[in-house]
Amino acid sequence: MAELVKLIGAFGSPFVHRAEMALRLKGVPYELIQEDLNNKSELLLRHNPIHKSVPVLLHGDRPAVCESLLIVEYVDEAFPGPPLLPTDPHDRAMARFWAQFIEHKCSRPFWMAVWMDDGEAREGFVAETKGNLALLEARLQGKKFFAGDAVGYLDFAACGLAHLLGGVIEEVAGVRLYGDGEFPALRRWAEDYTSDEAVRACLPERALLVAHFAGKKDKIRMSLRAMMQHK
Amino acid sequence: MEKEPKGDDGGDLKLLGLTVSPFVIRVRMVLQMKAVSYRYIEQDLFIKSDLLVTSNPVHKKVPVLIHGGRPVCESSAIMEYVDEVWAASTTGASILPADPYERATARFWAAYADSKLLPAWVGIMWAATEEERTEKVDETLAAIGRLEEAFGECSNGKAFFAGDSVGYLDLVLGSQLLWFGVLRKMFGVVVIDDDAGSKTPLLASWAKQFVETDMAKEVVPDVDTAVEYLKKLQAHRPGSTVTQLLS
Repeated sequence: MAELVKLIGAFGSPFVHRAEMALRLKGVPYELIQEDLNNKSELLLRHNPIHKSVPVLLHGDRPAVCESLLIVEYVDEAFPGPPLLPTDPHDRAMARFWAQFIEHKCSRPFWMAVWMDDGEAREGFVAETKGNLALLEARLQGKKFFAGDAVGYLDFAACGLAHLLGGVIEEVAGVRLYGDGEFPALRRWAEDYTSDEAVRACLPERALLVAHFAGKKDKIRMSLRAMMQHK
Repeated sequence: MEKEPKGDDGGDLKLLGLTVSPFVIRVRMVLQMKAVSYRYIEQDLFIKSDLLVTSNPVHKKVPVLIHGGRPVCESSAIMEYVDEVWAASTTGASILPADPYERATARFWAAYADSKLLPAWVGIMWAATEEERTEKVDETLAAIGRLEEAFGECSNGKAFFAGDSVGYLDLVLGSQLLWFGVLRKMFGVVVIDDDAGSKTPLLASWAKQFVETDMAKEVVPDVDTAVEYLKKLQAHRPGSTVTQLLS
């Protein structure tokens, strides 16, 4: 009998979504344990004492695997099934490079630019986001998904962007970062991604996501202000 | 400044780097371990070369490995690439273990060493006030404390995180040792303490073994070279983050 797989997650988290996509595309059944991040469980804190964040993967009796992209690579290596990352070493290196780029140079500044108060710092994040999205737009040219014809590693690594580009966050924050003519390939990608069957099974409906972030927006803004002051 | 180490012909292989950069040191060590020959090209990060800018247009940073004309960027991606391409090399075992859980653990602590430890000690060097410096020292020591615990868990009583021989996590943390030497010499800050009563006895023993390995001796410059480089950075770019100028 196969070992039980449990995933500790939280509603609306793009990081958890990556882990779920990896498990689903590999055909691995799993139990999802939803956390309330405002009231973290003993289970979460025990299994991820360093970062105290989701997702956390528990495979059988093994100690936890933490960090979403590491969980994806773990799932790819530990379970049989179609490969999640490309098999060619150069393509793998490219996928890993672009995943890091998307995480640190696109999603993060995008998030900051949408939620921060106006000012020089915010302007910096806006400029950084747009410059980097342009690089990503060029990367997507002629392809339906970053991985090719079907959704793959780089697409779900970029899923946080799908939330952001699909306008969910912007609708809640009341901020629009780009005009109608900008980033057409990326916006089309966001729609194709969020419409994909496997994705929809582990991505909440738009209306629920909007409600979820609307409920958190004051907290998000406050924590960003505190973070900026600390710098 | 170019060097051509002898060894297995990796085809057309170049590495753009900075000898004192931890990100470059770790890549050079992997190449050394695999006995892969390559052309090393030292970069001036103050005046970036056309080759660097065209090979890494996104970040314009080192290291960049150029294999058969195709660039690979990001030290972690390069390390795994080299490990995969020269997997069959009889001269060097894989730097990552075979077991997926152990691989995830090595990658986790390597990411921790780069995202929590490295920025903290960089912060010591660039702190504007005593208060800030103290804060960064505390962060550094807290992070190294976590890694001391991790070493106990990973090494199973052996010399390195990876066991009997150096592996991925050893390289990522080991490549930072040069700068711990700079911190001691220039700032009087001791990150890994090898005195009696040390809070990091396991890492102290590990560090001693690491610096004695062939590839560390071959690749890592002496502390004075790093001190000189830091002085150059301080003179030219006050306020920049060292990570901006170490890669």
